[in-house]
Amino acid sequence: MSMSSDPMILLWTLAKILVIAVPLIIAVAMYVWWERKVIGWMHVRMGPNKIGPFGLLQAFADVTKLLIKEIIIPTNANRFLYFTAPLLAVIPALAVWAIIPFDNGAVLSNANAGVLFLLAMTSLGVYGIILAGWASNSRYALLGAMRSAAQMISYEICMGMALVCVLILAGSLNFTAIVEAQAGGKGLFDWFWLPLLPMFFVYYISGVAETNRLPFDVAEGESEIVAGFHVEYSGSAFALFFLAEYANMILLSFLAPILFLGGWLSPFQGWHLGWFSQPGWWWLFLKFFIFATSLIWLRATFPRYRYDQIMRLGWKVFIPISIAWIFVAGLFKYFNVVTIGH
Amino acid sequence: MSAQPKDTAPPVEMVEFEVDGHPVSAPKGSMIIQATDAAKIPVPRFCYHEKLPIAANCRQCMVEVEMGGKLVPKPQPACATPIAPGMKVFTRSPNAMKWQRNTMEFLLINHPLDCPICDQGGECELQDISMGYGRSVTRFTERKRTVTDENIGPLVATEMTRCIHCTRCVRFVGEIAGTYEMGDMSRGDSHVIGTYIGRTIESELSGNVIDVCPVGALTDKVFQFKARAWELIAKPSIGYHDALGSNLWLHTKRGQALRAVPRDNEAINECWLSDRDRYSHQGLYADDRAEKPLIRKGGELVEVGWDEAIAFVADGLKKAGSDIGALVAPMTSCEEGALLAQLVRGLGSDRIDHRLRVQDFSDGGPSGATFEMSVEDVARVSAALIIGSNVRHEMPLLNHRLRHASRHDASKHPASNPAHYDISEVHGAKIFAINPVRFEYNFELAGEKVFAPQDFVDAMLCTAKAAGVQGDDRALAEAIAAADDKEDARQWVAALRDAPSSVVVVGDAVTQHPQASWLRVLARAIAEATNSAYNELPSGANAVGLARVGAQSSSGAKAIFDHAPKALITWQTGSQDASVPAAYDKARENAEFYVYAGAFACDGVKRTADAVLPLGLPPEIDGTWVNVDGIVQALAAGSALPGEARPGWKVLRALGAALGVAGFDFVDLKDVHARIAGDLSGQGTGDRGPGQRLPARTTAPEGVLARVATVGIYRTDAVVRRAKALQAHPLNRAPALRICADDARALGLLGGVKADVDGVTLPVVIDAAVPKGCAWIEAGFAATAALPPHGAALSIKAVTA
Amino acid sequence: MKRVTEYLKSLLLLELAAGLWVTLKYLFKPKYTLRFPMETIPRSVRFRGLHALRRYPNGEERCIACKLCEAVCPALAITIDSAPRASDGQRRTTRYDIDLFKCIYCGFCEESCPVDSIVLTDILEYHMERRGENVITKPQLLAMGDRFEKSIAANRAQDAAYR
Repeated sequence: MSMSSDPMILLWTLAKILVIAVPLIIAVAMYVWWERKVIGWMHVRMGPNKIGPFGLLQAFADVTKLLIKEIIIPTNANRFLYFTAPLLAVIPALAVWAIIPFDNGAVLSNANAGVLFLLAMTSLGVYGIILAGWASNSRYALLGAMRSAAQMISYEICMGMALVCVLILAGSLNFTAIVEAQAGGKGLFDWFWLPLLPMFFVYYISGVAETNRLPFDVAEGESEIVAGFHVEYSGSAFALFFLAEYANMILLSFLAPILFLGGWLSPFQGWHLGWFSQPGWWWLFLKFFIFATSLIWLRATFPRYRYDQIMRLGWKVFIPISIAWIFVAGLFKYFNVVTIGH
Repeated sequence: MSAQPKDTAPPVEMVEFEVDGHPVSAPKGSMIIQATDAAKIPVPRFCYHEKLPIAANCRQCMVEVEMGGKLVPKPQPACATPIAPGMKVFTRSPNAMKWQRNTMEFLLINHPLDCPICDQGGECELQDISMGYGRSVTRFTERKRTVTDENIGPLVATEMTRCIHCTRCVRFVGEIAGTYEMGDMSRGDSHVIGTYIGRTIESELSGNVIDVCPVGALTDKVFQFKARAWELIAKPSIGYHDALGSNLWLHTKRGQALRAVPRDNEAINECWLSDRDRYSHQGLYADDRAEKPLIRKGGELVEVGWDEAIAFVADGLKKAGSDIGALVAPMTSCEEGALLAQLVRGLGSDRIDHRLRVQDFSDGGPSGATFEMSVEDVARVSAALIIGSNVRHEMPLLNHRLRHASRHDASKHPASNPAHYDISEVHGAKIFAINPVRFEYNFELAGEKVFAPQDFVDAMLCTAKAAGVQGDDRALAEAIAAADDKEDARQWVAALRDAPSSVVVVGDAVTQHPQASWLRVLARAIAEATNSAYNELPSGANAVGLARVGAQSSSGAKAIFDHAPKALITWQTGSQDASVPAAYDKARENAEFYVYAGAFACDGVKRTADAVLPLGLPPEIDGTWVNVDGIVQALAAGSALPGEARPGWKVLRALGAALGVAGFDFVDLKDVHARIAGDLSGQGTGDRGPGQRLPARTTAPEGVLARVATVGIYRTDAVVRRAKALQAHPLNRAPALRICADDARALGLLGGVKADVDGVTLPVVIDAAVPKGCAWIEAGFAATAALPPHGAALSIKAVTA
Repeated sequence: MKRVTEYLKSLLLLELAAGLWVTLKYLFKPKYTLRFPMETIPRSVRFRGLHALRRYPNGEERCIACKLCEAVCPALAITIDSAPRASDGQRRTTRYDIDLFKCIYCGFCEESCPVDSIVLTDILEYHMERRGENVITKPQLLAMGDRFEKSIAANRAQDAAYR
């Protein structure tokens, strides 16, 4: 169907985009606040508590500061690339939200090639980082960019293979279908995390590496190379990178439940616990919250992986496991060990 | 001139002994402390002072002495124990340190805990010696005694509770100042030092008790509470109010001069300072200090910048052509005097002079010659003749030297113990005086004669006749031959001639006399005839230097007063500096263009000046001054210049360049100094100018009262006149008519009647020191400005109600 | 055997879980953060804060211009001019300035003062808004002394046994 033919559909799509994008951006702000709070608590101190009640407006104050800051362009920097890089980072991060379902039927685009679209968008995000590092005309930026590019590409492979395992079991590239494939009377034991346990961990850890979070943040390396690939960025350009990173983190926190933990399905499904057994978007959000917090938890706990260790982990540990488990998943499917759907 | 033997002392016998194991040798008759001081071995002391007689009452200088192999059992005061061969002195033995510590403890028993509020804190001998030799913790728990203070004047502040009874002040005021105004009363706990009758200390050297007092009992009242010793910067400077050029340290804080303390110079001022030099710094900050250049525009004086002022003055001087006169204050530095003379002569005029009080210029005026006998040697004369000088007021420290001569035997070696004399045995100098008024001397004169100004020349002629002076001038020879023969004169002349070294001191009453040329010639001849040195007191601080750089002309200041030039420059002078202040005022009123270059823009200046150029005073500028002995003293600026005031030589440089006079292209003061260095070291001309004849003798009619116009001690120059503390001192007598009782009766001025003297009303004081025919009205006051000068006849009548 | 257990431990990420457990424990511990300015840490009576000039109980200012504080100040922050007071001729300051930028708050001036005039109060919260306000003058110091005399006296009374 052609969008331009029916203006109402156009308007309706725009409205749906706004309903996703605006809360997403606010969610990023809130996620920033939550991260600072949780890390603070784990450091036996309070996080921000001055700006707004409980410091809730801290992120908005930070954003305001970033937006009114002067953008300094390094000497001999490639202006076009310098300004394109953050765009290349943030556009895919926002675009991928088109295919994420929040409930059965509550999705902007119920594309049958959802997983494919996801893989494509996450791969595009790497370009933003490489371009940022190159265009900054700064050695730390370049170092950070190269590290990050290598890391992201490496972990995309095992992430992709984890997705393939899910694909094998679910039988569809459509996210809604994948979630529905995990429905069953056994509640949480129907979900894919059980047969695909190693893949669950591989996927999650690869996601952490993809989003450049501790313990895989050599790209940023706050205590080593300052801000890595975005060291020369300030003001609104930096704000875009920031937005992209946190959007990706939220995306990961949504995808992990959707792919492995039953999405909006209740863990007590089929257990006849009344309201607790009903599926609903709130289950998805609860799982998202747990994953988001665990990302923060990881950041607060672990030291940084060294670059060669990252490479080793990605290539010599995860990829062999993933390949092996594809085979195991295939065997599961062939011998109908896993129940799909109701 | 007449050669005087320099070293009249016998050879010195030295004694060898030991101090702390080191061999030391010192002249026979000295005390241990004199020997250790010369050998730089420290011994603590409070009452010993090298210039004062030994008292040995503080007992701080206790040392252990071994004589003949045996330790003397009791502690010996180092200041009162004469040295002997083979003596061994221990200043740091356990016993000596114990005795010193104990004495220190005794001294601190009654000493109040005043250090925070005491001005002597930081420069206190008691603090220093107690730190070095005293106990660390006190044992005293009883009450301390206190003493009520008395007010001894506007110069010295007293806080007698702090007094440790070292009696240095008593000995100073007695032996050096000679007035015996301080003494100690009562005994034991009630012992106090003071003046007993609570009067002001009137000695002109009273400020030195502040230096000798080791604690804060006697402090500088002008400086009271202003600053601590450690915050002051000491700049070497000199006194510029008399021609002695006493060396002093100018203590400044942030550029402001707060006090002056003496600088040691055995040849000039030893370690003393007259009050005039000490307290005159107060005048630097008077209310009428000129701080900005002013020029008269449209009838009013307006403040302008320096460039405009210099251009205006140059313009005005150019218009006058060569009819320019300059009156220079005697305290002007040599560089400024030289530059001013160069400027005036470069503009085609010869009328520049600094001898404002001189009336008789027929012999060219005082030549600015140096003393023939140095100030140091004056203390060792055996005879002296003072002619027309109150030396005590004119040059206090020269008077001190004369007093020293009169009380010590010059034949004894100066290193002998000053305590070893009995006045009756002393063969001190015989000092004679011929004065217009019976001045107060602080030593015994061997003979004194007073003559009214109109009889002065006759008195000198008699003395000259007695001395056998022939006189190379016919008028002079005739006058001498016609003089009387006086027996006293013959005796005095004989005393002068017989003395191994003698000096004739000629002072202000001669210099100001209307027949001064006669008096100078006669005095010089008397000196030559009696084999004495001729010391003529210059009429101003840098008279010698200014004479050497040519800041004077043979017609003198009188010519400027008599015929006012078209353009008149006065350099640091005021009307009260002139012999006839009224003439000074008239000259500056009559001048078409009058420039005042100086420090104080008083009412007279503001009324008459066309331009006021603010200058720095001697403590604030770099300069060179030459003293009476010909010692050239070059100094750097001490305190900061106020406002826009500039050093005079800089102003002259700009003015000379603006006028296009040759020789004003130098860059730095040292260029000027290099140019005049040759002149400064040269000898002044002692003879009178060739071809100048003595003026005709004038005889005064009978019964007329002539004025004696000596300058008040604290009225000599503009700075001193503005020093408030000095003006409040009793030596600064209010202007009055002083006459003898007989003259007062004749004029009907007895009984508290006021007198009308030539139109000026003055109170009458019956003074037995004034001879008949003489009216003593001191100069330097605004009230007496309108009166005729020294030696002139006065018309006096009683003021009728 | 050890190798097997180690391999299993590594495989099962046990040490990672131990780390996560530590941070989780600290998540629920009471926090150390001080909510300034509503909460403050206790200040010693010897705390050296802003200066003040004290008076005697009868109202007479204590300072007698001895300049010991000016001399001992290691940062040369104190400037004093003194003169006899016009009313009774007593020794008093005409100018007593402390440059708070130079001052290092060492307390030497307080220690050196023989009359306990210059003291360092326990005020640490103050600011300057205009250029030149960092030099506090005698009237300001006396005003601070008057305002905080009670706490100043109380602090010194408490510490007196150790001085």
